Formats: sequence, C-alpha cells, structure tokens
Amino acid sequence: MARQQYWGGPLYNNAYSPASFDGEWTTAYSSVLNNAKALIPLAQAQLKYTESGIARVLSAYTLGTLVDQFGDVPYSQAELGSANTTPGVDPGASTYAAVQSMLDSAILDFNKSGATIPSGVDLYYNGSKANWIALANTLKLKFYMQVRLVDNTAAAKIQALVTANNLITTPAQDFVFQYSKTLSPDSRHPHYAADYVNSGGVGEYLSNYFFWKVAAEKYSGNVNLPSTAAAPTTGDPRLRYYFYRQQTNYANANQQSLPCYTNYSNNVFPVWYPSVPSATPYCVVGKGYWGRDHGDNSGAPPDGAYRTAWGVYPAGGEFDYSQGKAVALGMGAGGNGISPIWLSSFTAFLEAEAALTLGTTVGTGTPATLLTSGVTQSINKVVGFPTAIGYVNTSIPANALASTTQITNYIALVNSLYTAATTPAAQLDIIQSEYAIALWGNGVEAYNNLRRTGSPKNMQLAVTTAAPGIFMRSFFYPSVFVNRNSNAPAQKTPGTAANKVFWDNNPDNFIK
Amino acid sequence: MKYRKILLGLLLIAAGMTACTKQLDALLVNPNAHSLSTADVDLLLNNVQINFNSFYSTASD
Repeated sequence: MARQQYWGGPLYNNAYSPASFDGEWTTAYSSVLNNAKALIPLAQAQLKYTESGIARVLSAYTLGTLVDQFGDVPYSQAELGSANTTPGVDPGASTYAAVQSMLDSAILDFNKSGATIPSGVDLYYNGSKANWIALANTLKLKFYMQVRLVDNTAAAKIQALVTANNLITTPAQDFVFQYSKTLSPDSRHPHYAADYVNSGGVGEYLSNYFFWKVAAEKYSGNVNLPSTAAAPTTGDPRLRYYFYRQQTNYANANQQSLPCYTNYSNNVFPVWYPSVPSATPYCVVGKGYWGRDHGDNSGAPPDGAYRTAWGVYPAGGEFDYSQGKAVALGMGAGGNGISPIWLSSFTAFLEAEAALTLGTTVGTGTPATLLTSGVTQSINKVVGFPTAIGYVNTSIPANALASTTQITNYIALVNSLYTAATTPAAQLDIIQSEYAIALWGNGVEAYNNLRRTGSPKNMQLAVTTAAPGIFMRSFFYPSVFVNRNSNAPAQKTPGTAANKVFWDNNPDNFIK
Repeated sequence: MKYRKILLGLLLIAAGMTACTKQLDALLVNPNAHSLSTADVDLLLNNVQINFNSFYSTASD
C-alpha cells in the first residue's frame, strides 16, 4: 500500500480479501502472544527476567502493530484459553495504553537482577539488556508519535523520552532479525527465496514508484545511475544495493513482455497522471529497472527473466554493478539478509518529525540536522551492509560502490531540498520522503507514516482508473476472526469506507 | 467372632482406601508436565522470537 512493493489493485476494495490476513493474525495470536503469555510467569518464577522482558517487548510490538493495521482488536479477552474462546475487541486506544504498560514492565524486568540469559538464546541482541531497554524506549516513542494527532498529552511524553535519550541511536543498537544462507530448513530472507531461483526468474514485482523515488525523482525523473567508468559523484548511494537488475535496458520490452510499453513509447499516459517522468513514473523508469505501476492488475507475462529483484540490502541478494545477469539460486549474499524492524536512522527521522511538528527539543538538533542524521545513518547502514554480513564479490568494480563524494553530494542535495521547502508541510514531506527511502524492507512503518502524515505526497496514482476507491486506512478483519468468532465486529469495507484506526484523524481522501 | 470379622474387614477396607489415595496422588502427577520451576523458558522464547519475525515479515509486505 505504501508503494514499496507492487500492489495489484485495480480497486482498493478488491485488492485484498479477508483471507489475505489470516496468516498474520494467526501467527500473532496463536504463536507470539500465546507463547509469550505462557512464558512470562515461568520466566518470573525462574528469575529469568531478561527472557520475560523480551517476551513483553515482542508482545507490545505485535499488539501495537495489530491495532495499526486492523483497528480495534482483541486484547483483554484474548489468550484466556477455554475461559473465552470468542474474545471481543478492545478499543484501539485501550490496547495502545496496554502496549505502553507492557513496555514499562519490560524495562522493569531488564533492570532486575536475575539469571543470565544463556548465550545464543537472544536472537536479536545476544543478551544485551541495555539494547533491549533502548528498544523498549524507542518503541514507546514510536507509539506516542503515532497518537500525536489525537492525544494532546503525547508531546510531553515524547519530550521526556527524547530528553532521557536512552533510544536506538547507533547502528550497533539496530533491531533486526538476521537470516542466513541455509536452505534446509529455509532460513533465507523471504524475498531472496522468492527472487533468486534457477528457473522461472524473479517471482514478484517491485514497485515502479519506489524505483523512481530512489533513482530518479531528484533528477528530473531520469534515473541517475552513474557508470562504473569512474567513481560516482551523484545519485542515491543506496541504489545499487537496494535493487538488482537482470537487464540494464529494455531490449526485451514489447507488447507481450510489457503490455504498457507501447503506450509508454508513444507518450500515451493515464490522463489523470501528473507529468511523466518528472512528477511520477509510468510503465518504465529507465536503465532496465523492471517493475509494475500502482494498481496494474493485468496478467503476468513471461517476464521473470527481466524483472528487477531485491538487492543485497536488506534481502541478501546480489549487488548491482550493471552486470545484467539472470538471477540464480545462491547468487549474491545467498539470502543472508535482515528484517530491518527498527534502525537508528528511523529514530532520527522520527525525532525530526517531532521537532518539526511538536516543537520537541532534541538536544541541539534541528529538524534539518536530524534529517541529515537520518539520511547519513541510513546510507552508512546500507553501503556497509555487504561487509557486515560477510559478502565478498571480487568481480565488483570499485567504481560501482558508493563513494564518499557521492554520499556527501546526496546529503547536500537533500539539505538543499529541505532549505527550499518554505512551509512546515513541505518540510515534513521532505523528511517523510527520505524516511520512506530509508525504510526499504519495512512496510510496517511506511504504511503507518503515510497514514499519519500523508507523505510522501507524490505517491504514484492508480494506473488503470482515476477512481480506485478510498485508500485503505486499515485492513479487512481476517476471515479466521470474523468467520469463527461470534463476538467479532462486523467486517469492515476498506476501499469503500476509510475505516481509519483510532490515531488517524486525517480526512478520508487524505491519501490516493 | 462375627463382629470381629466385620471389624477386621472394615479396618482392611479403610487401610486399603488410605493406601489407594496415596498411590492415586502420585499417579495423578504427570511426569511429562512442566512446572513453574522446570519448564524450559529459553526453548519457549526461541519460538516467540522466530514467530515474531514471521509476524513482522507478513505485516511488512
């Protein structure tokens, strides 16, 4: 929905079905929350407070995300076993309050003396209670920021957390899940597993808008991917790390392999689109990037050999040095990627938003310097990623790698765009645009940020119709919930009605 | 004599019931069940952590 990945549409009310969300719901309630609830009293009895703290943090994130995506969900009546097999929902605000309490309890647990967690048990921080406390505080900040539109007490709470500054502010504190190259059991990044195969080609489409956002938006809509003949000086330094092109041109594009290509070649664009390509992409972004437009529901042609795949970051795919080779099993970093659940750059972007919209004092930082911090940390994370996961490819030309000059120039460009923005809304749009780029691989925050701020404002419009319906401000209740639970509320009508979650008081037509 | 036999029988029944209760108590303890002090918390935590990432991945797509 946030245009990181392709959305098939063509209408918001038929793009998904309730069953689309069954897996997410079942994993949350039957696995994470259920087992965490069983774990906590056991851990407390055995003085394993780190374990109980971790369980509380993961439960808090899970519950908060369920509210963000579905609105009112079961909490107080859930996980009671046979005592209540048909739990009703709690108001989203109540569940959010419980999330904050869980995080407070987790911090108390981490501060207790007890048994040391055995090495290797903590898959995220390897037993560092300090990092878990920083994460718990950062999640408190994230959830307070989420309610800033509807809760006038949030600003003071945000200020207190920022002032205390026990947050995720360095890459060493990043909250990520590390995948591996192991095939059996398949422990590779799921998008690597979908894209890097020996036959059939890339198994999914990425979003043309996101290609354009990273590669072309700041350069009049033309892809800025310097050749490898010399060290790069312009362009987004993350581009070659984010996406892997199997083709570096459109020699194989035709009416069969890319049905929109004829219209594109004849400059025939949807009449409701702004200027192509300077204000939005259509069909083709340039230099072989092969994805799909927002809401393109046409059948998939045999184009698996041409589609652009996830790159080395964060999926552990291949680094794109314009080699233009077909994907293959084991290619690149072998799927040794990460889930970027919360990175230090995200904290900086959130602080920039708080400073701009709430007047939060963030040390000596201004919204502009915090924006710079976020962009810098994001770039450093991405360009340092191959080394961090031990990926070595001696075929990569040195000039294909991001250079210091390129990084400096990119950050200067972002700063100049921010300086040129004359209104707080325009400034917030710059912050959120950069935040959206840094979020590659994290659709949770991208969807939240879009609904909270309405930015990036230049999201690609649906391609098949000017009236795709109302943007989904929350998702269908899963079928496993509404079909099996007599106390479930009536099914929502996303696409037809806004169905906003409690913290979203923006207008219904806020997002296209 | 008859009363002695009845009394003896009652005593045997009572003793049997007492013994049976003690054995029954022991039999009712499931040797496979975890108690608060013996359950493997770290094994359970592994499940929570793996499934949490699975939840995140699904919610993120």
